[in-house]
This record gives sequence, C-alpha cells and structure tokens, in this order.
Amino acid sequence: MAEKTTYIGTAVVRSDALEKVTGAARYAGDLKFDRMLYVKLLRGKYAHARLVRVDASKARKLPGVKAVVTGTDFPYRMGLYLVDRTPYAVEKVRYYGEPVAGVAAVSPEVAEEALGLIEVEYEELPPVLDLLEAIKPGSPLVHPELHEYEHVPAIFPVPHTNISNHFKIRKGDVEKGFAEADLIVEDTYYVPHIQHSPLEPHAAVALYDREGKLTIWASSQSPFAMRKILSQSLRWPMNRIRVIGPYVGGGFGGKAGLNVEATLVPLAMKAVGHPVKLVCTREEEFRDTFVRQGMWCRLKTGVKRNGRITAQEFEMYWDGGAYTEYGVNVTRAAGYSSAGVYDIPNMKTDSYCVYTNKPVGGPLRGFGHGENHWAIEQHMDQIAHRLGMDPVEFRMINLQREGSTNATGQVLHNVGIGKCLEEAARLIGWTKVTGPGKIEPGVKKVRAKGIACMTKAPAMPNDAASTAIVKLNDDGTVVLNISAQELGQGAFTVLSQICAEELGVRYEDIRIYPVDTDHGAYEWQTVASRITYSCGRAVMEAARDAKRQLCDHASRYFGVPAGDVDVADGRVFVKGDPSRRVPVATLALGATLPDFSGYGGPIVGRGKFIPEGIVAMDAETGQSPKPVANWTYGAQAVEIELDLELGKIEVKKVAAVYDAGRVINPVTAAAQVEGGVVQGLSIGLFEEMKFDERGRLLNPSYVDYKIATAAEIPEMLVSFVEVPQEDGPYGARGIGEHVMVPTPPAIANALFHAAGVRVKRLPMTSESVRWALKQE
Amino acid sequence: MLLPFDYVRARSREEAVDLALRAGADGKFLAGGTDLLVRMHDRQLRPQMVIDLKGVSGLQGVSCCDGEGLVIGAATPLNRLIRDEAVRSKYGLLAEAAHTVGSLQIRNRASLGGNISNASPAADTAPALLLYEAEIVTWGASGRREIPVGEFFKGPGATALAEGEFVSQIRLPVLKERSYGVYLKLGRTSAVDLAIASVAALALEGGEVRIALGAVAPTPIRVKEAEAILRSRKDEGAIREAAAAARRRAAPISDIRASKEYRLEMTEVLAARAIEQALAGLAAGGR
Repeated sequence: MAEKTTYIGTAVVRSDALEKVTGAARYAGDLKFDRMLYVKLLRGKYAHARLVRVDASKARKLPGVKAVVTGTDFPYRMGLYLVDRTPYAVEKVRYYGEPVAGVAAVSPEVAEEALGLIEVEYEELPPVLDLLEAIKPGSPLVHPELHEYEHVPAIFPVPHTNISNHFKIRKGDVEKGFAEADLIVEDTYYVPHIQHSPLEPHAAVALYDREGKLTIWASSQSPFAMRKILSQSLRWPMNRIRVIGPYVGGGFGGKAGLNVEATLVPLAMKAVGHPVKLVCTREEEFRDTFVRQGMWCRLKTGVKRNGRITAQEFEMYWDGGAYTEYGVNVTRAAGYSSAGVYDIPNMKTDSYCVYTNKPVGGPLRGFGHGENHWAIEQHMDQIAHRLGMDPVEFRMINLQREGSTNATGQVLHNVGIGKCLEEAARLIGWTKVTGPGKIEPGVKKVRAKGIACMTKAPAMPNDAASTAIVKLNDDGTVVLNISAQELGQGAFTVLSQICAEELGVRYEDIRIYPVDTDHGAYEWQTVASRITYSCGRAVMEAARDAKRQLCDHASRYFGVPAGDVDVADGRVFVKGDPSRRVPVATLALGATLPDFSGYGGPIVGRGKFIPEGIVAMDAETGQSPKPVANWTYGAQAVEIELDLELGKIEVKKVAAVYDAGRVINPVTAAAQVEGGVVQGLSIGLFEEMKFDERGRLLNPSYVDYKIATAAEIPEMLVSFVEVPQEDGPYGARGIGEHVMVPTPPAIANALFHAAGVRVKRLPMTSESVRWALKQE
Repeated sequence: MLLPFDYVRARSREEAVDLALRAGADGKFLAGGTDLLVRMHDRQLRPQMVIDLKGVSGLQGVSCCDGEGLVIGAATPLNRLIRDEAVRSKYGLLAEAAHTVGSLQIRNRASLGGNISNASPAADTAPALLLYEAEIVTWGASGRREIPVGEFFKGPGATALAEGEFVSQIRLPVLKERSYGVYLKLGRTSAVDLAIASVAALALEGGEVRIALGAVAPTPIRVKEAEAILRSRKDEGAIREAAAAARRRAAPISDIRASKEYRLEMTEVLAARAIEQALAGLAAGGR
C-alpha cells in the first residue's frame, strides 16, 4: 500500500447525495425558461423509403406553431468518427422512426397536433434488415454515398458496400498456428440489439439568440464533443456554440456524442429568442437514441493438448443500423480487444460494421467488449471441456502476464488478471470442473458455478484530454472547475477527494458545478471509464499547482522557506511548529505581510492530462506498441440455480474482482461493480430489442423489454486487486464499464456446468434454455 | 400525451350508469386507471368522458358478513386487499395472486374490479376468483345483476358487461372448510411482469381440488377435467394426469412474451407444482 493518505481510499459520502435524495438536483428535463417552446418530432413510418414529398405548409399555419423544419431545411451531415448522419432524414428514411420533420410550438399539445398536419409521401425501398444479407454483393445499399463521407483516419469504410468499417488484426501466422494445434474448436455466437435504459430519458433545450449564439442545455455525457461536432458540421467558430450540462440521470454511453440535440438546432434557429425543448418519450428513448448494435460472430481457436492456445481466427459482423457515426468505433474496439485476456501468438481478426435499416448503433457501457467477450469467454470453457481441463486451470495457462502480447502485439506489463481470476474463484468457492454436471432422474433444480474473465481499454482518440482548474474563494473554500459529467457514477465525489487530498483542504469545502463549455475546463467526454484516470490526473496537477501558490504565500507570510510549510485540513502551517498556522482563507487571495503590503494574489491552480505515447494501429495489421491508454482486467464467478422444468436461471451469487489499480472510494467503487453485475445479469437473461419483418421495433417499452428487477439481484461479493496503473492518479484506472462485461458468459458457463447445454444467443431466456435442455 | 377529455366523478351508482349511457362508446369508467391511462396515452382509447367510480358508495373496502363470505368493493386498491386480514385468513389465494400484479406503486392504484373488467387473459386475480367461485356484482341500465365469475369473461378484453354497466362488488361465497391455495405465475422476470402462463390450485379439506389457468386461453379458465381426476386420487400419477388435462384445455397463442409451445409445456409443469403445493399446504394445516 502506498503513502499515508487522508481521502484516498476513504469512503466519504457522495457529494451529490443530499441533493439527490431530497429531489433538489436539477436535470435537463427540469429546466423551464420564459418564451420556451415545446418540440415534437415526426418520425418515419418505413425502415427504408424515399421521401417523395414532405409538405409542412398546413402545420406551419396552425396557431401556436412557431417553427417547422424538414430535412431539406438543414441537410448537414454530422458524426463523431464517420460523418454520415443528418438530424432529419434527407431524401430517404433509413430506419423506422427516423425524424422526418420537427415542430416547435407553444405547447406539447399544439406541437403534436401540428405533426398530424404534415403530409409525407413515401416510396418504399427494399429494407436491409438481415445483417448477413447486407454484406453480400448486390444487396441494396443503405448509404450509396459512403465513399464521399468524411471520417477519422482510424476508420476504414469499404466504398460501394454496406460496410462502414473493416477493422483488422493480423498477428503472427495463423495458418502455422492452426497447423501446430492438436485441437481446433469453432463456434458462432450472437448478441441482439439492446437499450441502455437510463432512468432519465434524453432531454435538451436549445436557444439561438439575436447575436447568433447557440446555447444547448442537454442531458449529455459529452458537452465538449457535442460542441465540436456541431462546429465542424455547421462551420461555425466554437465560441458561437455553448453547451451546458446539468446532472445526467444515467448515461451508459447512450448520451455520448451528439444525439437528439441536433434536431433542435434548426428549430432554434427559426424560432430566434425562444428556447426550444425536447424530452424523449420512452418509446423514442428505446428506438431513436443510440442502441447497442447486434453482433454475429464466428470464433475459431487452435490449442495444444497441454492447453496452450496456438491460434485464433475471429470474424465479427455488427448490425450497425441506419447511421454508424459512433458505431464504427465499437467495431474497432471489439477488434483490438479480440484476444480477451489471453496471450495468443497467432491471430486473425476481422470486425465489420454493417449498415442496416435498423435504429442507430452507438456506444453502450463497455462497448465492443461485452459483445466479443460473450463469444470469447464461452469459447474458452468449450475448449477446456474438450481438453478435459478445468476452465480456471485452462485460463491460467493462457492468461496474459508480464511480457505477454495482446491482439495488437503490445507487450504487457503489470498485468493483474491472474490475481483477479484466483480471487474470484476463491470467493465463489470454485472446485475443479471437467464437464457438464450429471442430472439425476427426478431432480428439478440444479446449482452450478461458472466463471469468466474480461479486459477492456478505453476506445478513444489518442489525444482525448482533460483539464482542471482549482479556484480558491476568499474564505478558503474551493471551486473545482472540471467538465466531467456526474452521471450517477460518483465522478464529482472521487474528483473532490483527489482535490482535497492534494490541496490539503476539507472534502466538504470543495464544490463542482455543472458543465459549461464557455466557462469550464476542457474535457473530451465522460465515457470509456476514463474520468477517474484522466480527469483525476488533471485535478491532481491543478490541486498541486494551487498548493504550490498557497505555500509560496505562506512562505512569505511566515518568513520561512517554501519547503518548510504545508497544508492540511484547511490550514496552512509551518512544519514542526504547530503554533504557526493560519486557515487557508488567510492566504487564499494573497498574503498580507507584516508591513501590511500585499503579496501574491488570488489562487488559481491549473492541471491537464493527455495519455502519452499512444501510437495509431497499423491499418492492415492492427499492430501497435501502445494502441490504447490502458487495460483494466477483471473476473467474475457466478453461482446459478437452474430450474430444469421451466428453463429458468436464477443467479444466486456473483463474485466480482477487478484490478482498479487503486481504489479511491471503496463504497462508490463497490457500488459501480454491483450496478454493473446487475446490468450484466439483465443483459444475460432478459434484454433484447425485437423487430418485425418491416424493421419496426416491437417492444419499445418495459412491458415487453424486460430488465432485471430488485427481485433478481443476487448476493454479490466484490473485491479489488490493486496493481498500479503507471500514469493513473495514485495508480488508479477505470472500472465503470468493465464490471458488466463478464456476467453473461459466466452465467452461460454455469448453465453448461449445470446441465450440459449452451444458449449461444443472448438473452438466455427461460424459453430458450428450456428448448436447449429438451434437445439435449 | 393525453387528448382532451371530460373527467366526471360520479356520486352514486345511478349517476355513473346514467353518465355512461349518455356517453355511449365515448365513455370509460375509471378506478385506479393503471390500464386505462396507459391506453389513453398510447391512443388505443380516446374516450370523450372518463367517469370516476372511486367516490361511489359500496365500491371501496372489504366487508365481512357472518356466514355470507366476503364482499369486496370493486374500486378497492389491490394493496388494501392484500393487507386485509379477512382476505388473508380465509381467501389467501386471492391475496397471493393480487400481490403478483405490477409493482407496489401500481398496486396502490390498481383495483380488483379494474383487473377483471379489463379482461386480460393474463389477469392475475382472475384464476383465484374462479376458484373461490366469486359472484361479480354489477350495476347498469337494468339495475343490479350478479354474474358468476365463470360467465363474466368472454374473450380478450371482452366481458359480460352491457353498455353503461360497471362492476360494483366482488362477492366471495363463504368457505366453511379449511383450504389452501397456491398461485404460480411464470413471467420473464420474477416481479413486475405479465404472466407467460399461470396456474392457481385450491385444495379443500373435503377432498376437492380446484384448478384454474391464466394467460393460456382467450380468457382465464377453470379446468374441471383436471379437478375430476383429483376427486378420488391425489397420488403422483393423478397429479401428473391432472396437469396433462390442464395442458389439454390450454389454447395459448404465440406472442412476444413466449411461444405457444412453451406456454403449453409450462401449463403442465406449473399445474403439477401448484397441485402438489396446494395439497402439501392443506396437509400442513391450511387456512
């Protein structure tokens, strides 16, 4: 354990706890302004159709309607990684539900009535709904103009196809690897589309004022990225765009990048001086914000009789939906992490992002990794059983360790997965398993255990940076100006802890205010489990900078060298002389010297962080000495009870162990893990967006899109390993997304141990398990 | 979003009927609103007038009349029913079934009368009412009627109620002998879900075992064929035969929640379990 700390590793109370339990906390949906208008969107009624005629003239004449826009009014393409998406459909609708027109009116009722007056004539086009058909030559194209679209260099669209990104790993020699293998195992796996299910739906207000400035208040994980996308697309200087982000009531990736906010921009520009507000209905939240795209994959692995993996071939096809501006990066992330936690000498991975006429794919907590680990971690158990080995023992042989290489050829150091796996196995009470359990006649319920590992790296541009400003008030309290978002994950708490630790002030004296791109320190996005790691480092540096200034003031004030003063618990003191101390307030705006002259000035500390040394992956091979900022490892073991007659899986117990590098707050860290386990369980057993043959979403509500309830929550044993992250604050690395990745495959592996069956398609519903049991 | 409508709080049964007759197809009765409001939001229903029954006398609460069973006001919220001592002690199956409806918050509003008037094949309280042989008391143009619950459900969303008629009370006949009831509901999640299939079994001290099914036919149904098998024999074989008979009576559909085939199989599995548990509960003392 590291040096003695005051706040690091301490379970301080969440800084937002009181506000949230009393209902005082404000969210975007709570905002109301004078002259505010209400927005409703007209949504397309076909998965794929040409817009022959969109006539909004009657809607425009309805009293109370202040602005109406259609696609041709605002035909600007936008996107974070691939610029392929317009806020409103232009010429074509590409999924059932795509915005065709928007109305801003004096009341939601009038806006809704106006939608009914907009006449739309469609010419239906053949929809592209089957992922594997979409990649065949001759398939109708969702975006015939793909070759014209701008994109970041890390994305590789295949022109004149439906493939918007083809990510490749070519490591070693797979043919040689398979030739060396004693056993080759091959299988296919599938994950369906799912939704994030945040408590708070997407909500935003946009105001275009008479000076030509656009201000957006949004429930967003990405105020700065939103500003950037709008600025690039509209060719506006960034100082014409301001994004303000109040608390976010759950994001899980769905509120990253630019979302429904884009539809408000042209309405705001037409209704100058009127704030225009949109709050998504739950139906819109399901279908018309980002979804986690479906994925079908084929995985083939060669292995020696002694358990050593020699080669892996992995093909992933992503059901990217109508626009893949963010989804292309999911494809990439799943590709570079395609070795999972294993040291595999020879690899060939192809990860394809495919356009279909389905809702828009985008980031969801741990994107790419939850999906590819569903395949990898079941596959590892399948191989172990074919070899007659225990799944934990088999994994131990192949785990990445000091000096191993991952899929990108990166040489790894300080790898914590071995410890995680050991600890997860110990906590669940793992006993050697070498095959499916035998079911005695007459037995109706069986218990079994399963295990799965995971690793994930943040999928972000190499220059994703953070800044922090620490301002001291007259009275010694502190404004911590950062632009990380508080999504419920506890960012404000942990960042305040870091600031208090470094500056020597009390945690309670630090305040963080909502994000404002005009006044706030820069932050790329609150995504990728990167805030504690990246923003944490910036805060650390800013607090140290402020402390240096404080000590400089103190040095003059007390007349001692700067090295002889220190700050703790809100007081500045001369080391070794407890009588010579003053509150921080005395020196916050400068020091008053014995002759009553002033010195110094108000204290503002500054800090910044960018993960250094990240090298772009080779376009053909995906190889790089350091492709990502860091890797976080973890393992989960589960115990299930399987009702053989119903097919129902009940998860009784989950042991979850993650290498957090350093735990800043043990309570919020454990809460993150618990939340992740429940979300993982929910994805494993219940969640699936279902579409009909015309591409319409059949279950856009919780009546038929089920998520785990409190009744499903298992006993959870949470533990942390602390192998320090070299450039993380106090060695910390992110765990926010990782914690839901291995739950589904761990349950699947337990199911096999219970009854010798596998459901390789998520979710493992009672019905699907029952049919698998019957086939056995 | 709701379309505009008139809200009228009826002060008497007569007024409620009168208002409903005048509104005709444009009128809807309101109790807890947990089904009605959702459908109005979704525009599946567009009533011009909503007639609130909650203030009508006799529609609230549970009253116990000596030797005459139990009378439950139709607008009584399910949570009140679930907590009622008379219901719990003698008609525990109904309390157990009501407890599986929606969530706690929904049960604070949702009423017993609403649950059956809505006539979902999956209505959780319906199998219990079938087994207690409830009488549905209604008020309409021709005054008061009593409809045996077995004749109340006519199909998905369809009941024996005439235009302008509403359910005012549910009467549970006296149950002199000891009994033990079990309601098994299979949903996708363990709570806050609609039934894929459900089975209620009520074992009576006199030897009778009653069985009803939910969510596997156009209406909730009682399965007398299965009951007949158990009249004389209650061994494992008889339970299996009764469960198979229940499956034969089921006529489920395939939908987004489950396939027809799964529902059929689960009917048999749940029936066997419900019968077994009801018999065991009775043997252990019953209620």
